[in-house]
Amino acid sequence: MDFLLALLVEPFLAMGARPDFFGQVFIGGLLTGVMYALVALGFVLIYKASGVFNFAQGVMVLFAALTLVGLMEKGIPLWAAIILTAFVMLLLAVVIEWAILRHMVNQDQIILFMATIGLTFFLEGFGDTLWGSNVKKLEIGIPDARLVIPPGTLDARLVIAVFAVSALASLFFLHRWRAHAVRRAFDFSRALAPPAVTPRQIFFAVLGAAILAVGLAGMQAGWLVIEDSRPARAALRSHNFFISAAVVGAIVLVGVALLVSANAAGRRRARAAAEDDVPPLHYGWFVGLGVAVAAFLVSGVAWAAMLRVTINIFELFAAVLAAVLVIVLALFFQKTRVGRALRAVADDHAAALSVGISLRGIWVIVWAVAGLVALAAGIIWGGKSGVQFSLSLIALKALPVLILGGFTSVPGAIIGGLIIGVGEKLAEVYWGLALGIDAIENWFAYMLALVFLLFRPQGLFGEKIIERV
Amino acid sequence: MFYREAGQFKTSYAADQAIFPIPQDRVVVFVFLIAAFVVPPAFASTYWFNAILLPLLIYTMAALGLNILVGYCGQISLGTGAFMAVGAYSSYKLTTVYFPDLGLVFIFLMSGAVAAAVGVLFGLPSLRIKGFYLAVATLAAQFFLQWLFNKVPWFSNHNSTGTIESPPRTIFGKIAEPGGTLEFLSFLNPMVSSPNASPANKYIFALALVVLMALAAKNLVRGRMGRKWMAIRDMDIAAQLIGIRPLHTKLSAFATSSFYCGVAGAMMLFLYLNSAETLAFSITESFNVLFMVIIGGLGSILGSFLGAGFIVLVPILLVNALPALGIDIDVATRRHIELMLFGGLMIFFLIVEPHGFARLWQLAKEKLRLWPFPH
Repeated sequence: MDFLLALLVEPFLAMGARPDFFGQVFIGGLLTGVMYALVALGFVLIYKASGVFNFAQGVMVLFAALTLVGLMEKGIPLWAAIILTAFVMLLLAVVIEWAILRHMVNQDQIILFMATIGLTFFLEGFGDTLWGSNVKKLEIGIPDARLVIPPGTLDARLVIAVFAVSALASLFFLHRWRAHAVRRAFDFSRALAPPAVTPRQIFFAVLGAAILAVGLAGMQAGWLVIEDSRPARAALRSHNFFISAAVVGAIVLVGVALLVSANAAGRRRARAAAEDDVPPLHYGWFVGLGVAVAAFLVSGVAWAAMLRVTINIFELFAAVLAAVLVIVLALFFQKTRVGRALRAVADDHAAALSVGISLRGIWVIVWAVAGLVALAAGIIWGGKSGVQFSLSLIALKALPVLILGGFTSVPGAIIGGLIIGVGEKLAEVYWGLALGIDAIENWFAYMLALVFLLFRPQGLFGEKIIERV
Repeated sequence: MFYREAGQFKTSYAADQAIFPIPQDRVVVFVFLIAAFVVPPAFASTYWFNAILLPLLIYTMAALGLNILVGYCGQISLGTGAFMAVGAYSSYKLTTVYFPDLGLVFIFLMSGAVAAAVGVLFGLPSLRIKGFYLAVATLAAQFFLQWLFNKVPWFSNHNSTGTIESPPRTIFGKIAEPGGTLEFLSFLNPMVSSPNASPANKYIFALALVVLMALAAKNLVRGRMGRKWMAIRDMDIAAQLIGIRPLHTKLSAFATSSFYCGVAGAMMLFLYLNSAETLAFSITESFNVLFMVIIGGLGSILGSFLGAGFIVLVPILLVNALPALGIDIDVATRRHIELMLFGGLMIFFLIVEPHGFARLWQLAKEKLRLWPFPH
């Protein structure tokens, strides 16, 4: 019982007891998530366009950061060094295509994967030989300080209103984006979506409601006011059964509600797609989405700052940089000739070849883009924790992000990154404390991904039905 | 000229289905086996045993296990290091706490069984996903188990440093000592673990284990089980249609594979490292073993031996080659250049022969069959 209490109740109590601290952890997690997302983005780009599971993405981050720092140590100013490093990454893409990929056309995916592991070793050795392996500091002129808004500068109600409106707006735009994606990926299997509510869901809903009712009734008998987490913990011992019951019931209900709504949405979309009445998505959606998300983020930051949640300026910069990168990439993919070619290759290699798209050229481009994304990630991670070997290990953290978001989805990489970032921070701080264990961070992301796989094997946004059994 | 099967007629089904149907092959293999058992104990130095031969055998064992999973059943796993850790830690627990009288053979087999159970548990996602999704899912095993062994002091007998150390043990344990039930084995019962044990004894023990397990694996993959694995690998839906249950088949592949990896992990602790912590079974090991399987040849028992040889020997060669060539550089740079060369070689071999050394060996045999008159 104590274990259940620690697992299901105490973390939430602790969150409720200090909302400002919770906000702190949450935002810290979001910003870490942005960085995971950046690395995952590189994976997704290459996997989409060439089907190569590029394990070397992490070491490309390290290599880019090493090159940047090395150039700066030679006395080259930051902006020039960034441009030069970008050229180096382009060159790297050309060399990789020339030396490896063109020899391995038509090989098994796993062989290509192993080749990228070889590339990982090679680049690691190469970068270190070139620039030395000592830990370096990357100074990019963004202070590692906290953002503080003096009290009374902003009106709380206004900020919250803006926050809420822009959150709703971004959800709306995201929904349209998603609907569009679904429509594109529609096939007949989707017409066979499950019914809106299954008998099993009704059973679980009733069961959850019953448990919740029992819990609530029990708590009503001796309702307690929670002021501080520590006395609350002692007080809870006497009521733990009812509280646990209430929480379990609530969780079951929420789960059922999510399933029902997911099914209903799936059916609706499938029908809409079948009738082909979803209007084509145009430029306006992306601008709208961008504006809404930006407003959402800005007002969120302001709100957080007013709640006395401090925000690291450097991490904020990272988030903004990542957002800009994603928007540029989205425009690149949607609006340029090359982007169209990239999407064509991602859809079908042979068909793309047959309309005259050069596969090799596309591969160079996509590796170069992944290299640039790696450079951005390298700037951020390197600026935050110094340029050193461990930078290449974040690739391992990007893998569960991919599972969560789907191997082929750019928005999936971003949202997956955010979920993983927030989830592992919350797990580390709250569940780690409640259960008395530490370093949950090391495996939490993988376990989350593993559990997630059981329910949605293709990831959140994976368009293609993945090879499943 | 010498390698010719013309005129060799099989008169029984058994002869036709033998592992080595051609007598020349049999002779070569037997000569090689005898040499492997006799030559190193007579001539090799301690360095050879400890730095080359023992790791070679242990990684061969792990590669055999992973090859069953990846090469024969087609399920990619990146959790090899973790399953080896399960073998190492469970053998440690079993021999120090529960069965101090049992010999290492039994301990190894038991820890293999424990690893098999854990392998089945982490093989469950394979029922829903394939390919790289599965590979990433098995990474969960890698990180979670490593964390578990690190954080729960019970696994290392509450040792404050968290390391596990191999106690002195013999091959068959108390029962083969004078007065035991298996007294006639007492001449075969030397001390093989602990730093003081003779490396030659360790080597022969490890070699015998690897040879027996390789034979078992060979027969397993030729038999009913292996054919089921291969059917699932080649096309799971078709396999299902002809009545192969994917659940049983995949989980049995995970169990068998983890059994081998568990034994390899236990061997690693008792015969090679003597004291280990979780770091010894990190993700690098997983990648190394996977690479052995691929460079050696997916779906080939011989390939596991060749792949392990490549991965164990190449770094040692590189370490010794650069100074031998008279290139004098500081240690850090040398390490980086070794990394580069190793990565470059990996890519090179994958480009030249993506089907691994086993395929090269087969081609060589084909050539030899016609030699010296290729037409």
